[in-house]
Amino acid sequence: MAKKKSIISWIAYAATLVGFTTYVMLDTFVLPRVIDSDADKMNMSLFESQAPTENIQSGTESGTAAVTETLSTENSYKDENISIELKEYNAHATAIYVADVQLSSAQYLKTAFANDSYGRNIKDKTSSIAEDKNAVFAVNGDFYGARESGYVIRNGILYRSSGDSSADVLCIYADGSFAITNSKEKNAQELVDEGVWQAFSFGPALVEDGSVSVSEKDEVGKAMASNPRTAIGIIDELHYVFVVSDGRTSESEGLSLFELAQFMEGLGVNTAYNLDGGGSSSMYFNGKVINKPTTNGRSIKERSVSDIVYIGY
Amino acid sequence: MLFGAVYEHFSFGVYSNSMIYAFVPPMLTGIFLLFTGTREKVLEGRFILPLEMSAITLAVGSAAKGAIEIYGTDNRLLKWYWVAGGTLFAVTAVVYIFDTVHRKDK
Repeated sequence: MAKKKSIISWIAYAATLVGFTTYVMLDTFVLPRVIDSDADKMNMSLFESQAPTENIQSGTESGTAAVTETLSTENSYKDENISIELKEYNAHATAIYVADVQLSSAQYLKTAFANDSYGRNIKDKTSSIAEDKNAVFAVNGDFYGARESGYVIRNGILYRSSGDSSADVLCIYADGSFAITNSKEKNAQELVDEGVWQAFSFGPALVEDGSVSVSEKDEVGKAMASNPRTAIGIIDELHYVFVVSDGRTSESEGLSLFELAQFMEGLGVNTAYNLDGGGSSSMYFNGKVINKPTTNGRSIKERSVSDIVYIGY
Repeated sequence: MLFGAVYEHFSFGVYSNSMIYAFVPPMLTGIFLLFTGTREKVLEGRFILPLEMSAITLAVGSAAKGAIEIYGTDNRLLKWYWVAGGTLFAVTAVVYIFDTVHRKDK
């Protein structure tokens, strides 16, 4: 009788444990949880108090009768508000793609969620989200949907106010400037009130005040040393660089955070920040994926991500 | 070894302490029983069931956390493994102490 009772207890326990573990895994990786299905709003009021933007082609005020021509080639794009130039480098046995971006206003540095929805396990490829937004240029974002905490402020709207105390937060203000902070220093509402246009919670900060701010020992959570990487940096006013490196293949090993930080410092950035990397690292320009995204190094294909950073209208 | 091989294959060189040390709870339970002289009493008594369940729950929770960490993510539900494992361990301890006191009284 006691043995039978014990067997029943074990069966009930095993069923509960297996069932719960299955649910945890599905909740983590599969089951979509939409929190806001209308997450393509933009708080353009942040730009109302700003002076009229300057045409970056002619130096005159944008929207005037000056040059408004769009010039687009395989590795460059230029119109009155946006200038993008792509370059490819090879360093540390790694292919590195750099987009040099000059804007007339930070309102053209935008972000988007997969399916225009904020939540968990809502994912799409960087290129698909970029196409939906008619983006000229895009990279993957911070994959906010993989975590339960970390500020999410996108296009001036606050989506997640719970901070991740271990993560540096990159704030991009409406005037286009960058600042690195963390949840111990400022809460999310304070950042919104200060006029933060975009905030990312991944990191770490790679370069601060023009100097490398990571050591050779620093890594992202549990990541191995050499990886595909995505980073964003600011050189001076409204002048940015987006960097994506390939990795995990025999052709391109990948970069450590320190190598990435050194590379970005060499580009002359004042502040640089690491976004989600690994299989997420993707760069999109004029309808094409520029780099060779891979998760396992065996097949080249884009991983679906929660969000992108893009340049466009 | 099979567990290690699967882990190496899917981890892409990413490590997780939770995954590496997932076997610590059952190991500690075994060591505890071996060296405290309570092994026979526990194995014969009604303590073994919640004690084993506690160790397994913590081990599975640790491995699940490791698998989730390797993919750079987290989940709010993971805490329930520690709550359940801890509760089962507490139940074992309470029943064991109660039983010991009860036997002394006899």
